[in-house]
Amino acid sequence: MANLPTTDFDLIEGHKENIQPIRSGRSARALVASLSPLSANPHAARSEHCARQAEFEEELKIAAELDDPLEVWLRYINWTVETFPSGHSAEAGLLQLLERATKEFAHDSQYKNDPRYLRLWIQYAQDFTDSPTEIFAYLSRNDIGQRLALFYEEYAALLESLGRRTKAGEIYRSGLDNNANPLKRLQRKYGEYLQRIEANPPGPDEPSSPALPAVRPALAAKAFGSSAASGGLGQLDGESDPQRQPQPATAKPTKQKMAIFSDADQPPGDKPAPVRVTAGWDNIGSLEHRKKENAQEARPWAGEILKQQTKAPQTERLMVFRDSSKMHDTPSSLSISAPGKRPERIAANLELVYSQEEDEHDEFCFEELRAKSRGLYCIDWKAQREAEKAHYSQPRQPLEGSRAPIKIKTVLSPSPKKGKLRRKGPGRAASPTMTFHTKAATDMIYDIFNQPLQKPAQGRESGDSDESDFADDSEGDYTTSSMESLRGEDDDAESVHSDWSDFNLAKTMPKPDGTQNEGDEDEAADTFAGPDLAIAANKMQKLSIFIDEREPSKSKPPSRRLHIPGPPEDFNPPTLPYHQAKDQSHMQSRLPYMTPIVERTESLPATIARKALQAAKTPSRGPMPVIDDDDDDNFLGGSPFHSIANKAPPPLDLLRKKTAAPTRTKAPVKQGPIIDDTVCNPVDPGMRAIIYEKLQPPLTSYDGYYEYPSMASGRAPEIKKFTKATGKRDAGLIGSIPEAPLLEFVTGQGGSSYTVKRELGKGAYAPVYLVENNTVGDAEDELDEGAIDRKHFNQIVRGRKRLEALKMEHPPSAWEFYMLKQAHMRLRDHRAIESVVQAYEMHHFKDEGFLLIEYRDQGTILDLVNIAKAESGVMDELLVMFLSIELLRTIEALHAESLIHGDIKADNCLVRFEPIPDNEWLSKYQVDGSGGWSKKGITFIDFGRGIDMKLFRPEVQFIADWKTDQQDCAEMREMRPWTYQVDYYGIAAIIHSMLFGKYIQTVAERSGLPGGGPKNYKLTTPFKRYWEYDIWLEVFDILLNPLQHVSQDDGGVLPITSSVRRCRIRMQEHLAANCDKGIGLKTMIRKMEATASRRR
Amino acid sequence: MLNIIYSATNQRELPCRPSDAISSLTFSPHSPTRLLVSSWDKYVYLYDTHSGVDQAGSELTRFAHAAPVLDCCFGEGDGEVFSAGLDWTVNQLDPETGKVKTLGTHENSVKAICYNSETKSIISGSWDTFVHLYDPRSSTPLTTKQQQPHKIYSISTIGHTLVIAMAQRSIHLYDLRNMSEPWQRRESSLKFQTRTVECMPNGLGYASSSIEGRVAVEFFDPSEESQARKYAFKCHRQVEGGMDLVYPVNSLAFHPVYGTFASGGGDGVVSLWDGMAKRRLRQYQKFGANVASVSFNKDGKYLAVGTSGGFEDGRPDGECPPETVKVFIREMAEGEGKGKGQ
Repeated sequence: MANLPTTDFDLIEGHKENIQPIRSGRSARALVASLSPLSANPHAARSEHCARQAEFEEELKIAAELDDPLEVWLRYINWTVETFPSGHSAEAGLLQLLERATKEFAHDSQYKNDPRYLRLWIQYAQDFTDSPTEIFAYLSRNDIGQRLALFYEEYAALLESLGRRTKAGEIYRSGLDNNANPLKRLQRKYGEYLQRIEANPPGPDEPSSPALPAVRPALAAKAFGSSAASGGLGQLDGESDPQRQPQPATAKPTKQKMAIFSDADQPPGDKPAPVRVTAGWDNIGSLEHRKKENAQEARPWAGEILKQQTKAPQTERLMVFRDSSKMHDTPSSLSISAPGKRPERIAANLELVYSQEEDEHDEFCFEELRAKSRGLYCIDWKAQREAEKAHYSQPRQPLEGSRAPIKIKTVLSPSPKKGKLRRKGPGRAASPTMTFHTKAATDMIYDIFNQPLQKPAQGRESGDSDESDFADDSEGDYTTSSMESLRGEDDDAESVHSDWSDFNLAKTMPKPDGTQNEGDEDEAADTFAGPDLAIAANKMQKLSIFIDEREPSKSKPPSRRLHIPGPPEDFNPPTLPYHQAKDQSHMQSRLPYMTPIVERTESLPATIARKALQAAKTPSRGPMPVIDDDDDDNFLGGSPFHSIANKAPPPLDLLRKKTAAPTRTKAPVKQGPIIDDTVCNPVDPGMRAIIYEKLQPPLTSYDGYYEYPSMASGRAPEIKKFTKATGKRDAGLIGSIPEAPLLEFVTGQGGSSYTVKRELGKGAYAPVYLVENNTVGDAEDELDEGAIDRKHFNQIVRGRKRLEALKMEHPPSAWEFYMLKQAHMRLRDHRAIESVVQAYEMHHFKDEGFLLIEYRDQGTILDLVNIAKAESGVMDELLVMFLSIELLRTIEALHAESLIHGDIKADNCLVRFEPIPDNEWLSKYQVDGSGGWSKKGITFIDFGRGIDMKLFRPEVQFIADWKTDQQDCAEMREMRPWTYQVDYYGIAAIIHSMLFGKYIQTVAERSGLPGGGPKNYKLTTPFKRYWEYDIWLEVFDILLNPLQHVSQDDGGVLPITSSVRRCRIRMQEHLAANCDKGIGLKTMIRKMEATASRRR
Repeated sequence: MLNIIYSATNQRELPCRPSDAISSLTFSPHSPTRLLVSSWDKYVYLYDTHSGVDQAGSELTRFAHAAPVLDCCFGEGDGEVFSAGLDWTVNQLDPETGKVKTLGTHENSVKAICYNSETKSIISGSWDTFVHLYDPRSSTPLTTKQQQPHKIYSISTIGHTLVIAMAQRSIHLYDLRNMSEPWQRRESSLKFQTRTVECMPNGLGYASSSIEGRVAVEFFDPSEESQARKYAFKCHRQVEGGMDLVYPVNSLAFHPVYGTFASGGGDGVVSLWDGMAKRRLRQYQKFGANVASVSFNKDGKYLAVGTSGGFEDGRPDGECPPETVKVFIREMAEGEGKGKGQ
C-alpha cells in the first residue's frame, strides 16, 4: 500500500454529486483515474473509452470458447462501472451490458449457481429495474441462484425493505429448505430477521400475497401450450394461493375502456414454440421490452389519417388594400355597455389611438395623429436642419442677379416687429428634393411668401369675402417682396404689377399679406436672402425650361419665367388658356395658389397642343405624314426615343388616316429630355400637359388614338346607371335594367362600337367595364354563318377580341394610353411584352376618356392569393417563385427601357394563364418560356402612374404628392425622392402577399454608423424555415434596398436591372430543378387556372 | 347659499388668436395678465389679456417656429419663455426681441415642457421617450437626459417632484435631485391613454386625465394609507341618443389659491372640481369646440380657455377649422373657485 501514490481527494470532491454510489464502494484510485480526463480532455477520453469498449466487444466474441466466458463479462462490466462513475448513461451503456450478460447465461447450467452471475442479476435488479421483485421471481422460476444463500438474503432484504416482512421470512425459510450455500450465513441472517420480527411484530394488514407467485396452471396452459407448468417454487404449492380467486360467472360485455396493451403484430394462432419444461417463464426480456406499451410503434404514414379539427378555421380574406385614413367619414369608436348602465361610446377614435395597423401595437396621442394627418409625423428634422445648413453655405445667386434696389410699396401688417422677420426656424428650408405637393412643403413655401406674417391668412377670413378675390385687393396695394426680390430683371416694381394683373395669373399667386419693411431695402434683401428663396429661385430657373423657347409667342411675357415664385408644377403652365386659371380662383382655400390642379389640366393636352401649334405657326404637316427612311423619327419611335425607332420601323397603322386628329406637326426634333427638372411630381398634370405637347411624334399620331377636343361625350352617367342596375340584378334585386349602353366612335375604319356589359372594377381613378367589341362580335357571327371567310375575318378583327375592357376616365387622361403604347413599342421583341396589357384605342373627349384595353378574365394576383388562402392558407412556394420570376422579368424589361410602372400592387397585376392543350405544355419548367411556359404568366395593368424616364433628365428624382402608407415604398413614406424604387417595392409587396398571404410590412434598420448611414429595410414577418431562405432573403433585400445594391450593379445607377436579373436567374434555376416537387408546378398552375376561371 | 349663476358676461373672447389649433396655453406665474399660447400654426403667442383696445387683450409678440409648437411655459420671470414642438427642439424665446434660441434637440417631437422653479430648470418630454433637463442660463443648457420606457405624453412638476405620463399608461415619478432612477413607477389608474397630468400646487399629489372622460387624483406619498386616498371619477360625458358619449379630458389646471382644479374636455366643457371633497363645483356653459387647454392665472382670478377643433372631439382628420380656434378669458367671481369645505 505504501508504494501506491496518494489519491487526490480534491479531485473526487469536486465530482461527488456525479458519482453514483455502489454497494461495494468505489476505488478512489479508479475514480481519480476516470475523473481526471474529464477535466483534461473530454474528447480524448471519449475516444479512449470507445476504443476500450471495442476491445471488450472483440473479446466477447470469442468468449464462448473460453473456460469461463463470464469472466470477460465481469471485467467489462467492472470497467464500465469504474470508468463511468456517474452511473448509467448512453455512453456507458451499463444497462444494455447487464441485460446482455444476464441473458447470455440465463440457461447456462454452468452459472446457475455461480455467485458472480447472480450478483449481475442483483445489480441489474437493484439499479435498473422498476420491479426488482419480478426479477427475483424470474430467477427462482428459472432456477438461477437457488442454491445460493445470496439469492435468499438479497430477496428477503428487498421484501423487508418493501414492508413485506412475513414474505421475507418465507424466503429465508425456503432458502434454508433448499440448503442454500453458505447455509451458516443464511441461518445467521434468518436469526437476525427473527429478532427484528420479534422486536416489531408485523401488523395484520400486511400484504399476504406469496413472495414467489405460483404458476397458475390455467395461465401456464394458455401461454405455454400444454406444457405442464411446474415452477421451481414447488415448495410453495402447499399453501393456498390467495391470488386464485373465483372467476365471475359471467363477464359482462362492457364498453371498451382503456385497452390493455397486447402485441398486435403477433398473428393469432402463432403460439410461441413450446419451451423447455422447466421454464415457463423463459425470458424476462430487456427493460425496454417490458415497457414497450409505452412506446408508440413506428408505422408507415401512408394511409394514416391525422385527426384534426373537423371544421377548417375560416381564413380571413385578403381584401384590396384601401387607404383607411381616407375613409373615416364617421369616426369609429368603442361602445361600452355595462349592465344597468347607460351604454357608452368613446368620442375619440380609438382605432387611431391604438393603432393595430402600422406599428402593430403602438399607441398615438392626438397630437401625434394630427401630425400624422398633416404629414409632419415622420419628418427627420435633424436631417432637414442639416440640409438647411448646407444651403446657407451656398452662394445667393438669384439675388446677386438683381441690379436695382427693390421698391417696396406698402405695409400691410399693423405692427411689424423686426424680430419676427428673422427666419431662423430650422426645417423651414427643405432640402432641394422637397416636393411642392406635400403639405409640409406647401406650408413651407407658403411661409416663404408670408414670412413676416402678421396675420395669417386664415385669421382674416371672417366677414371679409373680398379676401378670397385677389383681383380686388391687388390694385397695386401690395405685392410680395419675395416676388420682387426674385424679379431681378425688373428695375421697377411698378411694372411688375402690370405684368401680373395683365395676365391674370395673380389669381393663382399667393395672397401676399406678407409684410414689407418700409423703405428698408437692405433689410428686405437680408430677410429674404435665406436659403428658402435661394431654392425657390433656383427652382424657378430650372422650371423656366418648361417654356418653349421655340415658340415664344405662347409664353407671354417672356420675362415671366422669372416671376413665378410659386412652383410652376402647381399652377397652370404657361400654355394653359387663361380662363382656366380664372376658373380656379374659386377653389382658393387656405393656400389658394398651392392647390394642386387636379383634373382640369388633364383634359387640356389636346387643346393646348392645338393652340400651341396655331400660335407658334409651326409648319404643319397636314393630315398625312410623309414617310421616308430618314423620317422614322417622327413617328412613334421619334425623339426622344431614337433607339427604338431605329430598330423598329413604324407600323403601317400609323399611316392610316385619323379622322379625329386635326393636324399633325413636324416640329424640329428636340434631343434630350422634355422635362428638365431634377425633382418633380411624376403625375403632375401640368407637367404631363407639357409632355403631351412636346411629344414627337404627337400623341395624335399614335395608332388607336382619337381625339375630340371640342366634343363632350357625356356618357358616364348612362353607363354608371346601367352598371348599377345590372349590379342590382346580379344581387337578386328586381329592377328595370336600362338598355345596355352602346358606345360608338368614329375611327378611320368606319367606326367602332362597343356594348357595355358590366363593371369589372372601380379602380382608384376610373371605373373599368367589360365591353363587347361589336365589330369583332359581328365578324364572328358572320364567320359562323359562313358569310365571310377566315381571311376576311382576320382582316376585320385585326387581333381584337370580342370581349375587351374599357376604362372610362372622367376627366380624361391620355397618359395610360401613352405609357402602354410606349411599353409595347419598346418591348417589341421582348418576352415581357406579353406581361404588359395591350391598349387598343383611346377616345379622348373633352369631358371623358375611353381607353380600350385587353381583357383577361382570370382575375388578379390578389385573387390568386385569396384563392390560396381559402384553400390552404398560403400559396405554394413554387408557384410564388414562378410568379415572382414573371414579375421580375417584366419589371427588368420595363426598367431597361426606362419605363416605370409606378403603381405595382397585387390588384394591378392580372393573371395570364392562357389556355393551352395539355400535350403542348411540358411539365418541366422551361426557363426560356418554351414548351408552353410563356403562355403562363402575369399582365400588368393600370399604368396611370407610369413614368417614362426618357422624358426626364437622367438624374431626375420624383416626389409623390399622394398620401402614403405601408404599401408605398420607403422613400415615399419618408418623403425622400425616388425613381425606380417604387416598382421594386411594389414587386416586393406582391411577392410578400403571395408568400405570406398578407400585406407587406417592413422595418428599417439603421446602420451603426454615427451619421446614421443608409437604412436597411427588412420584412417584419420571418420566412418559414422550409422555404428557400437564401433566395427569398436576397430577393427582398434587393427589392427593398435597391440603392444599396447600386454599387454592385453593372450599371452603377438605378435601375439595378442586372442585380434583379441575377436574382431572377437564381430563382429560375431553382424552379427548373424543383418544378416537380409536390404535385408539381404545372399541376399547381392548372389548379389555380381552373379555380380562377370558375370564380369569374 | 345663493346659487350664483355665472353668466357669460364674466367671460370674453380675446380679440387675438392663433390661426390653427391651440396646443397649449398658460398664464404667467409672475404677472396676472400675461398669457402664452402655443399653436399648430407654428407660432407661440404672448398676449396680455387686459391691454389694448377696451382692455380686451392684445398680442404682445409672437415667435415663429419651424413646425407646430406643442407646448410652452414661462420660466423665471416674464422675460423667460420656453417652447417645444414638432420639430424636435426645445427653445428659449425672448419676448423683448422675439428671438428664438434652441436649447436642445430631441430625437423626436417634444410633446411637453415645464419649468421647475426649485431647480430652475426646464424639463422637456418627447416622443423619443427621453426627458431632458435644461439649465437655460448655461452655455451648454442640456444637463440631464433620462430615458423612459415609452413615448412621453405629459409632464408636470412641483417642488422637487417630476411626474411623467407616458404611453402604455405608464407614469413615473422622479425626485429632481436624483434623476438617475425613478422615485416611483406607477401605472395609471385609468384604463385608457393618459392625456395630461398636473401637479397639485400644495405638492402632495397630482391629477391625471385620460382620453376616456376620466380624471384620477393620486398622491405622491407611497405609504399605503396615502395611496388608499387615490380615486378616479368620470367626467366630460354627454348623453346622446340614450348613449353616453365619452370625450377625452385634454387639460387640467389647479387653482393656485384654493387647490381646486378645472378640467377641459373634448365636449367643449370646462368643469371645476373640488379634489378634496370629491365634488364638482361648477360646470361652465359649453364652448363651441373642443377645449384644448385651460389655465388659471397666478392669483386665480382668471381662467383662460383655449378651444380648437380636432381629434379630441372626434374629428376624423387632423384639420382644425380656424373659426373654432379661440381664446376665452373667464373672470372668476369672488369665491368661485373655492372648494366646499373651504
